[in-house]
Amino acid sequence: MLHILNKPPHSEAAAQMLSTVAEGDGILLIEDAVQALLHADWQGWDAAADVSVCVLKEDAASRGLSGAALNSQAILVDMEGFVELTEQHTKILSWY
Amino acid sequence: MSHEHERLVIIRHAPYSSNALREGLDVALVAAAFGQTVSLLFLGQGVLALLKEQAAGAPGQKATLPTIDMLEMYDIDQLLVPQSALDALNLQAAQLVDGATVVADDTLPELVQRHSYVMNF
Amino acid sequence: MSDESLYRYLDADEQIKLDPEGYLVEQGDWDEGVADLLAKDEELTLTEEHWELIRVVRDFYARYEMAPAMRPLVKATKQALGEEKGRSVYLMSLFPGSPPKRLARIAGLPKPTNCL
Repeated sequence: MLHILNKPPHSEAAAQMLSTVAEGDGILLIEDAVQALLHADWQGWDAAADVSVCVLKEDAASRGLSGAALNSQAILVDMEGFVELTEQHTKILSWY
Repeated sequence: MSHEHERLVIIRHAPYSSNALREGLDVALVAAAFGQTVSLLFLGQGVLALLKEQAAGAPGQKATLPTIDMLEMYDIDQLLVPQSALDALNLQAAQLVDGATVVADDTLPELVQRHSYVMNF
Repeated sequence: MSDESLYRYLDADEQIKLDPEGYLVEQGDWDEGVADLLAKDEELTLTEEHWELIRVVRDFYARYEMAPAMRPLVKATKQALGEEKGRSVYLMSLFPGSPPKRLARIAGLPKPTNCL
């Protein structure tokens, strides 16, 4: 399951997403969700075992968070990477 | 029981706040009308759709409760609510419609995982 | 959802308006005489068996504010009239084609949503 979040990391949508993330899931942060880069202690970084957190590079850059992205544990993906992620997961759930 | 081809519709919006609740219920009803097995999970504000004392619709709007009551006629009988969603709204299970089932929060990842189709509203 | 535009009249006196799909424009126009006219309009003659089902869908609508699709119609019929009648074959025999649509139309309800 790939969870796509576009709301800020401390939004209700984010909390709801985190309550359903299972071991082995992926999380992709887009739009406002990239603000998670400013919160190293965000629960989502360690949501469950074996969960990789990706951040859409373009959205981080446009919000002035490229530097923060380099210093984080996030995996940066571009639009092509976004498409690849959606192909890797059989199920996709958007949290908006 | 296998949930391989079952659908889970997640409802996260309150009545009257937007069309999201209505759309989620419509999707659930269409799927059920076509013979699918559908469960509903109510998160956050979505729990408000289950309050059993809801009266008639706000002016010009359709009430939610008749549709919630109708779900069982479409054999949609899994109306799941995590305990934390109740707590966040200071609600008790007794305030919800009889068909609602309160579940422990730590069952959610597995619940979402085992359904082949999950949709968020 | 029924269309609110008038397409034709059901009766010769041009009192009862129908939408393009043949549903009543004004739900309030409905009574048993109108039901007979609506049935005649699709070449059905209503028997007591038909009326039982018309009452089932009208009760369903009164309770849930929507006309039932096939699955809930079968269930509601089973609950109201018993196992024998609560079957799609039985409904099809009385309202051939699409029982939910024909029943809703003759019962003076809006077209059922979520329905083939």
